[in-house]
Amino acid sequence: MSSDTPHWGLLKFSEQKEIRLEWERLCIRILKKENDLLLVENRGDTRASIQLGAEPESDFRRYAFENPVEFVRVQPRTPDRPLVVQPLHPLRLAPQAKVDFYVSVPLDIQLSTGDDKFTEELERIRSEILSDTWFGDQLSGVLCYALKSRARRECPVINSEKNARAICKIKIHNKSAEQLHCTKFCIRLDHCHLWQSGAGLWTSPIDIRYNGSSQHSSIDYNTEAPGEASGATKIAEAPEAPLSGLIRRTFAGLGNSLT
Amino acid sequence: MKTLDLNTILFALGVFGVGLALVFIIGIILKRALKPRLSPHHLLLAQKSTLYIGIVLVVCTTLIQLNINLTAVLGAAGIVTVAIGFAAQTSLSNLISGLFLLGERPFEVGDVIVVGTTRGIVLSIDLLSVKLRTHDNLFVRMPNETLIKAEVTTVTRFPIRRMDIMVGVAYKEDVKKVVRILKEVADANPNSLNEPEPLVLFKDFGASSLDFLIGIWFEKTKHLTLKNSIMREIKERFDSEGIEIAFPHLTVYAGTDSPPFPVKVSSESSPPFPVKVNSGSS
Repeated sequence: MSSDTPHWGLLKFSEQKEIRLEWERLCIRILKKENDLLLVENRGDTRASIQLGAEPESDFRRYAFENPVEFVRVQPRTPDRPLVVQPLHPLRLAPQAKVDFYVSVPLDIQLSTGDDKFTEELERIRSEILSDTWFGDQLSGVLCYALKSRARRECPVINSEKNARAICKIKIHNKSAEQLHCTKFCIRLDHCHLWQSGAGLWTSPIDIRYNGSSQHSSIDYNTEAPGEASGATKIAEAPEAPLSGLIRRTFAGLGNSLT
Repeated sequence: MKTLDLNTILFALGVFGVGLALVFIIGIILKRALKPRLSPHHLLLAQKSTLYIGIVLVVCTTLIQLNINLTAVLGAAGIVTVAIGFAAQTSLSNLISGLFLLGERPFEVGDVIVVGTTRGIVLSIDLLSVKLRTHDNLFVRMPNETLIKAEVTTVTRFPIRRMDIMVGVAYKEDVKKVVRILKEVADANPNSLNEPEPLVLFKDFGASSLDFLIGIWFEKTKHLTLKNSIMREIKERFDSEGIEIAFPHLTVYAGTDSPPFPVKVSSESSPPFPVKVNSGSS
């Protein structure tokens, strides 16, 4: 499979009985041997490093099936932990002001076999190894991933076929009478759908309303695609639906999620 | 006490047997029902409470079936308790300590604790003892009294921990450069938490080294992964940057009052230094 082939969706094995997925920092090869699948991933500058038959077989993970596998489904997934991201520059938000931030989020890649009727999950592979971080106090905080990229005010142009990244739009509305000092955000993407628009991927946008330090803030996880992603189609459901109970919990916790 | 016939005894034995079986069955049902809702610690507590209360009830019911007056038994039990108290002082102490441990909850089932030189995972907290499994897979029974008296460290109590590593480098090294490199190594390791930030301290002028402390925060389950990777990464980075990790060495200095030792460097082919020995008597 050439790197021009779309990476997402149902992919068929090539004549060499191979599927090769290449992103900027990750290369995944899936080989078919009779009823078995062999899978290997390589990180770094991998475009040239993985050659057919060049690797020792011990590097591969092997899956055995009852019948030969014809297709592999490749789906993007949001990271399995909340993300902590810093804005490019610390920002002071005046009372009643609104700002939009755009965060480039590295996605997980879910591999599974079968068609729409039957799906057997193979592996979930992180496109980028992110560093752990802690958000909150040391007794009751939450384990997160720290994003190396910063939240920007301008919408970045990202080709998801090359980068396995999605853009998350965060709208912050300071509804209080006090200034809001934004130095980092903690975002939970497990309530966001994933959308494809052209070559770019988007998460559902997140709206944050800051009601002052003495009151709980609120977070809304939209179920629609952001306005920037015109004609977007949903390619992955949110792992967890944002229920009212959850929203209430989020409201309670948001006072600490903007620091 | 009335005379006992065979039927009464058999009936009482039946009550005892069926009662015990019922207690165990109720314990199993309770365990299955509460397992999704309770932590292992609370599950154990509920299971054991059910068991002990159930056994006491079954024994009392059996005694009633045998026409034994429980008031008299309880009265006698007071006297017997005193006697048993003297005879089984250690066991009772453990029993009471066990109740305190269950109430105070300094650790729970599944926690890693350190007591003296013993470090292990808590398997169960019983009325007389706490059972541990050490990391090298040994079973340790620790009397509750010991745990009440001793200092107990619960390693896994909080979700994140800090790993402190001492690094000594040679005196010739640039302190600023060493601090920068240690911080970069800590930041680059994915298991090291970005927040709270890694701590790098120039700690001491050691006997043979400049001593640095690097304190890295990590999620409590990643202790071994971090330990293995960070030590290797520090060594590799120091090697690549040409920083010498210090080893103990001693410099002998004769002082200013005496002249320094004459040193002559010669090649291997040269003859050894001429040594002249003067006898003190001549």
